[in-house]
Amino acid sequence: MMRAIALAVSGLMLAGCGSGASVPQAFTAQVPTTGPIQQGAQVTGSNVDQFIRVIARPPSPDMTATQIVQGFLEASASFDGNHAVAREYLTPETSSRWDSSSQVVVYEGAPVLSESGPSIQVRAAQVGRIASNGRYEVDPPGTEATATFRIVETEFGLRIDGLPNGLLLSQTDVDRAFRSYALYFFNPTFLTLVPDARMLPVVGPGLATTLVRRLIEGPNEWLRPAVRTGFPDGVDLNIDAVLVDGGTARVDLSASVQLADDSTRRALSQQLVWTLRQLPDVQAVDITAAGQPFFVPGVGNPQSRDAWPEVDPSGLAANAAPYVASTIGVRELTDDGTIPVDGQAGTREPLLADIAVSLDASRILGVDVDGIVWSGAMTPDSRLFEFNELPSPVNFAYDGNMNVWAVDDSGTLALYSPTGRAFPVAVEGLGDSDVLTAAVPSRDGTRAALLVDSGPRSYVLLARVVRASTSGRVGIRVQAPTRVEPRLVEVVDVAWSSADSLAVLGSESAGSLQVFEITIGRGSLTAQGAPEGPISIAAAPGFPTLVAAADGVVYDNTTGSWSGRVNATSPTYPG
Amino acid sequence: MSRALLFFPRAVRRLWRRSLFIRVTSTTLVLSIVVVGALGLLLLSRVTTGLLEAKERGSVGEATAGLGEAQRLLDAADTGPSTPSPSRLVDGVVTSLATRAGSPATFEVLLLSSLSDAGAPERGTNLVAVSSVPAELREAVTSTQRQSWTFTEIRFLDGRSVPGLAVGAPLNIPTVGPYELYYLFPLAQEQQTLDLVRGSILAAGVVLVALLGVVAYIVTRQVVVPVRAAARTAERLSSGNLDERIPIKREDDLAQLARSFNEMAESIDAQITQLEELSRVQQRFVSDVSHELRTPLTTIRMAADVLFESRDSLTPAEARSAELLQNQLDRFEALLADLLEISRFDAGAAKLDSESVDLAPLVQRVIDGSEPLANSRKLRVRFAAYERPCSAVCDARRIDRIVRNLIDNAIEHGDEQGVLVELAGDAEVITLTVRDFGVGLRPGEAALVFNRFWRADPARARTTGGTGLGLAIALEDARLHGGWLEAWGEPGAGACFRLTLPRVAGGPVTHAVLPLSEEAPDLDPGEDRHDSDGAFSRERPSVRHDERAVHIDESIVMTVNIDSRNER
Repeated sequence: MMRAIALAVSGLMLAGCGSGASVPQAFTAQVPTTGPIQQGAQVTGSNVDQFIRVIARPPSPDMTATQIVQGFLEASASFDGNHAVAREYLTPETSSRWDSSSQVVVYEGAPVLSESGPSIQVRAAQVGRIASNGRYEVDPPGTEATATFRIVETEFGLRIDGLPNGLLLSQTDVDRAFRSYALYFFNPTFLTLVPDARMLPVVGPGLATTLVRRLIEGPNEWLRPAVRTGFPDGVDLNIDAVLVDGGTARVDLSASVQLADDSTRRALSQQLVWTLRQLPDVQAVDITAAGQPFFVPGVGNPQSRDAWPEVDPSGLAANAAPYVASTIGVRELTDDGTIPVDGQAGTREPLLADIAVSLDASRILGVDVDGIVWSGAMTPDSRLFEFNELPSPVNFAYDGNMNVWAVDDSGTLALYSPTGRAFPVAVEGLGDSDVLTAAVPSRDGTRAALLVDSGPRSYVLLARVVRASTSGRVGIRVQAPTRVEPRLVEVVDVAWSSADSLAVLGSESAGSLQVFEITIGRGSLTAQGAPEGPISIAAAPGFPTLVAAADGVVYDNTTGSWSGRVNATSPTYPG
Repeated sequence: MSRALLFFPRAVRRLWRRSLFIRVTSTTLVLSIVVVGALGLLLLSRVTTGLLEAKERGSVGEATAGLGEAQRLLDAADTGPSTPSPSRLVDGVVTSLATRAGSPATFEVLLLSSLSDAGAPERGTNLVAVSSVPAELREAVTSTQRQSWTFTEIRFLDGRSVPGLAVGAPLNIPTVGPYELYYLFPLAQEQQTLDLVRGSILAAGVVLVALLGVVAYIVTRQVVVPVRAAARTAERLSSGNLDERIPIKREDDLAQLARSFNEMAESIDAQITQLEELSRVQQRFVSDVSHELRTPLTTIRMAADVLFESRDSLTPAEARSAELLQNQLDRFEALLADLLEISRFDAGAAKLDSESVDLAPLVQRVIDGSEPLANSRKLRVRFAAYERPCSAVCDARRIDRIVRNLIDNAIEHGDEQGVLVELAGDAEVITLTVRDFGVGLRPGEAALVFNRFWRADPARARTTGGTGLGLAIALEDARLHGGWLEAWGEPGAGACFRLTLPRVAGGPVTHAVLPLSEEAPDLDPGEDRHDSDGAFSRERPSVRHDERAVHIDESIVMTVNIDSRNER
């Protein structure tokens, strides 16, 4: 009998301990002051789960025509229930006809409403458009958005009877209601992912589903010639929904995807994982084909969000470092000072003043103080050679394949292979008065940032890079330059700060030169200030932006303000 | 099925009445469930109140701080002509408050206009729906212009809803108008905590109740087991096993009880032994007296015989005295014989001398022997044997004595309706009934008739010279056979004695073949079927206590007409 009691008591104590609380904690009922280190989900900077929503006000019977249109514009910023409240401002027939998702015209400032007969005309300074697939296009400054709203009298008061499809939203509304997500496609070598930014409303159907659906649909029409996708033709979602359940996104593709070879399987998994890992609650992606397991060589199922680091869109080697040209030779910037680079480049003979470093940090190209172009490897005891084929370039940069992109003072872009062979590059789509002053290829090699002088103004354009083979000869074309921001009037230097953002040294109207961060695909411009007299800029993903100033000092702003880092010029990152 | 259902509560009730175990354990269980349940409810309500009060304090504090910040922000933005648009103002307020909420949001914010004017923009964070704010709260905030709060259900546009606390306060936005600022604090975590606490309390309560049940079981067992042992010992003691005692192991109260019990048993044992001794002495005394009386009686007998033989030479008065002397000596001898017989039974010296006997002729012989007595009483004894031969293994002398005693007794107490003797048997038992229709027995007398020297009417004189020991001896004889001897009687309806014997002496007797009591049968000879030889046969209905059929062969049923023999 006593034994049975002892057993029962010890069983109770065991049960108490097993429920997670440690014994002392459980018996003292106190908050612990020590304990084991606990691990949670990965912390991401995304603020996707916090947003402000417009609560639309319905029309009231005594509103005037102008108020109706004003109210409609306000209410259309609310995405609740497919613009349910905004539709109350429309007559029922118009409401059923009106397609709110066709496009979004983004304006800045206050719209001007003018009454003309039974219609109200709205004018506003248009800064961009969001296409139905989510791609954001920046409009050049001075573009005007106009929309005409026809007003009729109904038994409930005035209502809108005719209006253009799509939404007319202020920049504030767009910032509030949309988030930018990247769809990832491959560069032509299938080595690096290329982001294709899309603007998606925060209120709406499942984000994971939308992202995967758009990813399968393929890249946007502008980017399409420059990138590749791993999704074979005809592959679609088997179930038209991507459920995120307990941190795992379940993507069920159609059965035909099982026919894909290993490299295709890898490519499409890489695209899916990198696209879905932008959602903070996705820890893993489970890919199936019509419910059957989908095997991808080299990775288990479900695939972790960190499964594919090798196709990182930033495209930078892990040991990348910034380089500067100083009065004692080219040096590599380290956390605690500088060290000379290997080879002749690290010496004062020749003393290079303007440099570029290849993406793998193996080669260097520079112009010395006398204007002679030198090139060579950055390995111990290697020597620099005069690069005579490249006569006094205005601007030069390495692409991802150790080719040098150089723009000469006539605005001609040419590509030089490591052996010194020159290939002319066709730049298509520039305006007649535009003069190319610099071309900086992205590290993935699919796009190039172009600096263009156009009369008194200079601005930055983004163009796609297409490798086209015409009559047996591989030619490189830079096509379809588009604006990436609406406001800058002067841009003197540009660098890729990540796969989908540019760091530029420029100025807004009546402003002085400073550093701006341009997020491609959103048209957003973030001013970051600048040291006194900035000359050139260098940027790379995960590294501080470096600015060389006229005082011969290279600055960075890691501490929140621009502070001198080293006495040198021409900061550069590989690529 | 319904029988079983009806039966169930009765079985439970019986179990409840009979088992101290069940009663104590189940009472403890029920009481502890009540107590633990009440305690749990109390605890839970305290925890709930405490949690919600803490959350309420924190939430209202946060809302107040947020309201202050919003008002400061608005005051700072109020710069006259260059004041930002209403849309930008409310955006700024809600953005700053949403930043305070952190990510993931610890609360949701709704900034609603008090005016119905569509020009006053409204904002909310994330997917929180305006319907989360109860209309009463809005009413309270706008009418009192004070911070107010209430519990509500926070609804989201994607269909989710969580319990929450809504804190509202008025907020004036310059150039736009009066607003209400609502903070919505989800209480999902508090609900989780409460769920955890409730689960824990429930689990602890179940364990506690189970433990209490086990404890009650164990404690009751410690009491009930010795009590049951005592009960068993008492049963054995009462069934005659006087040496039985309760083993004493401990020194507690139960041991005290056992000791007292044992002492009581000791004392009873001693007294019974003493009484037995006394009884034995008395029996020996009776036996000795009877033996001692025999020798002088023989001498007196011889003298009396001489007197009786020569009564013709005596005067009539002397002759009458000699006859009386002779008669009384006969009775005296019979009495002495009966006393000796009884003392043999008392001494346990009576032995069965069993042999196979046909009972019908035996009974017939006894009836024949009692003819003179019957004649003197002017009644007849009729005999119906339903089985012939009716054999049993028994002591013929003792059966003869039983039957004679019964018939003599019946003749003595019967009236002119006579006496009916019936004999029947089945495979296991043989039953003999002797029925008279005399004064009968009063209620309760049936149990006394077998007592020694018992007399129904003490004033009534003995006419047959019975000793008063006949029925007692008959009962002892029947018992010696392992049979039954029962009596029945009703005042005025006569009496019936029934002897039931096993077919084999000592065999089981579980039933009788003939009824003990019945309506007085109609014995009018006119209705009897007289045979040519003057006998009448009469069919005896199959009467039995149980339903076993009795096979009665009509051909062997026979009745003796005593009257006709008397005439002979």
